[in-house]
Amino acid sequence: MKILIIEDEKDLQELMLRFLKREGYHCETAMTYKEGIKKTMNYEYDCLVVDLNLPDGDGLKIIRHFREDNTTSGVVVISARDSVEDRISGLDIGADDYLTKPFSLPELNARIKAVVRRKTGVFEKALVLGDISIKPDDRTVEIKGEKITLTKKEYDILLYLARNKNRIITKDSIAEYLWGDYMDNAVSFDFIYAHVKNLRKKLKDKNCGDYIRTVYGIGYKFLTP
Amino acid sequence: MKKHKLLGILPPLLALLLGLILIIFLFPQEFWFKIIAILFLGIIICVIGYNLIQKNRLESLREQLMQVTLTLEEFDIDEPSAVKFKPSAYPVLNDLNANILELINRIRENYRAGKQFTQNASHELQTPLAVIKGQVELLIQSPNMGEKEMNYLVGILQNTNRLAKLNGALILLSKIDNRRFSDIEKINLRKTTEEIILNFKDLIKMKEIEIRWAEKSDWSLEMSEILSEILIGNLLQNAIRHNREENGFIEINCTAGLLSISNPGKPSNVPGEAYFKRFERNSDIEESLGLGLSIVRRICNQFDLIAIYDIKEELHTLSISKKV
Repeated sequence: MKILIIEDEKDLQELMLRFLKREGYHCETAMTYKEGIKKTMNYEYDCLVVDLNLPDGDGLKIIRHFREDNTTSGVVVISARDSVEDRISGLDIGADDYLTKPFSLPELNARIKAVVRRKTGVFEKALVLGDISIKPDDRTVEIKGEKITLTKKEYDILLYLARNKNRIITKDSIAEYLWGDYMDNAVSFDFIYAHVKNLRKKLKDKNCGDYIRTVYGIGYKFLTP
Repeated sequence: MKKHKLLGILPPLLALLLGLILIIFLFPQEFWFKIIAILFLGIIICVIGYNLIQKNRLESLREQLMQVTLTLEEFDIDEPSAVKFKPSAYPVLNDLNANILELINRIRENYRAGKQFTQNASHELQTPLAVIKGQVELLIQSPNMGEKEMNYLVGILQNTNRLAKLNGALILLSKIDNRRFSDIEKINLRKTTEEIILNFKDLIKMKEIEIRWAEKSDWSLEMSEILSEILIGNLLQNAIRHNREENGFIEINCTAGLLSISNPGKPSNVPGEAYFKRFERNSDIEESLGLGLSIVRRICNQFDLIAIYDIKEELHTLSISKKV
């Protein structure tokens, strides 16, 4: 899977590059508007990660160009602009998702996966990890072939951890993923703890292997069996 | 005042003039007496004439000054249209106008620069914050990280997140001040409140808070939809966050023209007004940002509403009402 990262901030670009490469994506980068336009015109990408504020042009224009002949590729916007109008105009022009800086890398990863899955249908097959099989399309989870009922939040946490498997995911990152800005951390951490506890219990009741590890004081990690 | 004084002087002067004319022409007098009388008459006519002219000039000066005041009253710093004064026959007035124009331009320039700076500063902060966050997240993944190091990293991450939230609040404040929200429509605050409660239902359930409606009628007003959601969101978040640990509740009273949200909390000696000050915050609660109420007040100001914080023993009430 090929991703083009268009971001003028060198540090941030490198971070995304390293993180996404580790995920197994084939990544390329562009630093400027011109470079972005050139690359999108000459090569094929499955997903574009675009910063809107580029030194020599507007990222929105790149998306518009890109959309003219790429309808099945995903586009994720990352921007320091947080206004609702920007969000809406980004999505109107053809972006599939919008992340506001500062975002967390696992969240970017989860969003890219979701967008690509939605657009291409390539990853339509279930996410199978040991005894667990997650089908994001109809939001169902099976343990050893048997369906299991999870609450919405339990499902979201499981999917988020599974999509970022073998990585420590901080509680902050989960809180942000689940509730955006709506929650204050002190309360939501208790909440996440309760949800994860229930989730693990439900999995255990079905004799599922225990893949979710608590990293004390920090967060959780989904260990692939 | 000047006008009245002038009018007061005129009748006696006119009477004197009439008397003199009578004396000069009706009674036979000495030649020298006539000369003096005519001179005197001349002086009086001059005084009256001068006064009349002055009166007219003062009147027109007053009118022109009124014009200047009116122009200044209509001046809106956010309005880009240039301020214009009519040229005047009085050099002093023209000087004054020129000075005012220069002052206005300078104020505008400063205002614009200040505004730009806040916007730029907060926006520029977003990218470095994203970099810090990402780098720490990557560090956390390294396999040979001890528990102590991990704790430091988590501390950095949490504080970065707090900084990001604070920065977000500042950006919002500057946007409200710049009146960037133009999505004005008819908003029913009762409906908005119900919707926001739905958004917070996880949190409310988690903290076992009971929602009570003292009165539940519609209050419709013209307002930005986004800002109305931010406003009510802030009020409810505040009531949830500072609620009593056990048997917590939120009492909502919504009628046309008044919305109040009360919650039991810690008794406080701080006057309610102090809660609105931007960086004053309850030091017992680490996560409290202190900017929330400041945002509440700014939003209220923009739509002619008043926000009042009232503490009666344990009961904290924040009410919003129409400015009368």
